[in-house]
Amino acid sequence: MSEVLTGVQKAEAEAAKIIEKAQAQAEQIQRDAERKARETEHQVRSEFTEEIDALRKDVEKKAQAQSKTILANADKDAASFGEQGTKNMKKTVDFIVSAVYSYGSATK
Amino acid sequence: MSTSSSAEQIQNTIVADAKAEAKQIIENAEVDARQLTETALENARVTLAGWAERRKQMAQGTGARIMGKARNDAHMQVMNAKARMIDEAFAQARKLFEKERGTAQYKAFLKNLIINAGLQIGGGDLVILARKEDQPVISKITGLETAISKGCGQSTKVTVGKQAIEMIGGILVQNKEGNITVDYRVETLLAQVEVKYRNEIAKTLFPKEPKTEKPKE
Repeated sequence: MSEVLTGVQKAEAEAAKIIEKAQAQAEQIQRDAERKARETEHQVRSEFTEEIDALRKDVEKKAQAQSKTILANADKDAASFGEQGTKNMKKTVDFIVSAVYSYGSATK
Repeated sequence: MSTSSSAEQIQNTIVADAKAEAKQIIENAEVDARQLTETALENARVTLAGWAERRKQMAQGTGARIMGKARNDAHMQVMNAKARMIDEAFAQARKLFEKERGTAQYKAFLKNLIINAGLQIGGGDLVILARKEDQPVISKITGLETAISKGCGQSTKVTVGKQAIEMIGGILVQNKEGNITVDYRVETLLAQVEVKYRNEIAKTLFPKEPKTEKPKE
């Protein structure tokens, strides 16, 4: 009978160890989860930052490409106005002189 | 069933139950942990959503700033190119006046300027201020006093001031008291023309609007 009791006691001790180990493991899982939760905001912020940096780079790249086009077009426009101005300079000077002379017109 | 086998069965049951309970403890812990991390993730996303949105808008704003600066620079570049040509036109107009100062047209111009100025002042004793070179020309112009007197109904006497004025051409006319001056210097008239005929001058110089392709937004 005492052998039976000893065997049960051993089994109970073993069971207690199993439970204790499981609880320790559960506590570790809980601690890991809490640590992970604490790090989550930082991690999410990093992910957002990465995403936003990529977006900014993309936006900047597109804007710079468009800026180049805008400035190249402005160069062309400026050159076109320069050519037109040179071509029409005499007509314009005559217009200005004529406008000044109009201040001295007899009908003023 | 013998006592020993029965005891062994009890022992096995105790251990098996413990293992099952241990498994359940770990499973529960894992469920709780998953829930905890998922909630933390959701909370972080909600908390940081506004921050991220503002940063995204700032990133978009960077693009808008770059484009805005480019548009501004481009606009200035074109405006400066136009302004250079307009300045050149006025510089050439000034030179043309300097060349024409001895012509009959210029003499007639001076005469009419004096009459117009005299009418604006309302006649009376008038002093004409002019370039040194124009003073003898103006002295020889006839019919000034008659034209002004007739135009404003006031007896008029015109004298050429001894003081010579540095200017491209034209005249300054003052009343005797010197408190009224009509400024018909050519440089003043050029400045007035620049303001009054800004659009016409631009249209004459630049009749065509360049058709460069605008970048898509």
